[in-house]
Amino acid sequence: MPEQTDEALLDLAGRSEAAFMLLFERHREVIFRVAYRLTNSAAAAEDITQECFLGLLDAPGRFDPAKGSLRTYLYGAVRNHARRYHGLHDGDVDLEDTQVNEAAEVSLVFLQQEQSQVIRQAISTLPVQQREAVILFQYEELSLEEVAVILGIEIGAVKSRLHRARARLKRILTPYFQGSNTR
Amino acid sequence: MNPSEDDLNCLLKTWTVPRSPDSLEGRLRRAYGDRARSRTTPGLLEVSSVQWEAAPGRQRKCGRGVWSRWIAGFLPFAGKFAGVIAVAVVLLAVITRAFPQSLGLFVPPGAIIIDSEFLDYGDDGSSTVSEYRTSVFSTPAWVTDTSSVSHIYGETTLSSSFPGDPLRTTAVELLNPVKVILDPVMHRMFDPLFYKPGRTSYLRAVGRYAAARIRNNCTPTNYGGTPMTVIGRETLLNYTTTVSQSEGRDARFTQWFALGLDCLPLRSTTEKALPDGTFQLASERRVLKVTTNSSRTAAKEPSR
Repeated sequence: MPEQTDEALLDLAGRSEAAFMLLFERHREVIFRVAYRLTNSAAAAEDITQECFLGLLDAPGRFDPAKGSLRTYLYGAVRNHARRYHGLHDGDVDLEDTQVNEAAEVSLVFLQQEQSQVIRQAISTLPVQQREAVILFQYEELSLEEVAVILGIEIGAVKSRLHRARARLKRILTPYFQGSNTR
Repeated sequence: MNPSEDDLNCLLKTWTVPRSPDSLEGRLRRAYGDRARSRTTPGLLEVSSVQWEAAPGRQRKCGRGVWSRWIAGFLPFAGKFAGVIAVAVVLLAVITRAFPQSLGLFVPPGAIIIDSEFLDYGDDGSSTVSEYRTSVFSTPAWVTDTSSVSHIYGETTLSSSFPGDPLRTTAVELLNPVKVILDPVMHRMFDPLFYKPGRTSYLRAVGRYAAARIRNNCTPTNYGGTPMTVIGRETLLNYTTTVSQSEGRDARFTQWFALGLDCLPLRSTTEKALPDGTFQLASERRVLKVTTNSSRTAAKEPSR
């Protein structure tokens, strides 16, 4: 039996729980992973994942296959939910210009933690917009074009956010590199 | 020392994320069920099946949730609907009170309009008027091949008053115009034969029976299943009537059928049986005035 496309399953999802759950199984890990990285919270990621999929039921017409795949649409949904989790809405203050006290974020305790934990904390210090770009590009390995579509910005803006995010991460992680080299 | 691009990439890759918890699937299934139920307003059968299958505890609660959502969904609509209906009824009553002739718009051509009074008799023979009524007996369209059998089809009250009972008068007067307008619709809704294929032949048979009765000087065969016998002729309101009577165990019914009005009864009396075998007048309906439409052609008094 040929595998059902996401679009076909989505058509059935409102009437068939099986179709809906199949869609969920296909995308759950990705959506949870992105939600987790964007919020730094397993509980929030769980909530967001659920809302993203239920959103498909409430407004199935919102997904337009002509604009991209269902996965891309879900990336956009998870990003919007994560923004709401952070208390942000579209049009809110551009956090890229927000100054983060990097020195305060990097403590000595930082150096003693697991590497994964270190990165997690370092990324959580990024402004939300930079964090989104890093997570989609660096971790989800999406193309610049896809990231631009999901974030609703120009490719140049994506590059700019990535550049600033990486520069900031380098600065934040420098003590860790120094520490790990001396350990 | 600043890390290189590659160093940073390698370092970033070390951030691992736990798998989504298994409980997420169960959560989503439950949420799916809830959304599916709230998206569709359940029909009565669905609601009752939910309640029927509901086990004690959680599912039982779910059944009540469906009911409350169902009712809550209709409440705003029901409130508005009731408000609109109430306003329409009051408006209609005001208009028909101010312009009584406006109700005539709903009286079909060929109808007979009568004013009548209803009397109750006491044991001492005294009488009191319980109601004055103006009503219309219309000719249904389906009897064009015979003649009018209007009184078989029923009576529509245009107005009524109850002496000594102004509250009831007001209430009934409010509803009468609504009834006049809704009656034709209601007849269709509640006529058990309306959507049945045999209806036409049934109605023709009724029409033939009525026509035969008119030709036969309004000689009825029975009254509510009790055989009727003709006991004489009388003139009421300038109409010759056939007086017919049926006698039951506890009461006797007498009707005066007008020959020129398709056997419309101009008077009806009910007498209760007394222990000594005689009868005492208990109630009466008496027609005070008859108005016939000029377009009426079938109301010709048969030759005696």
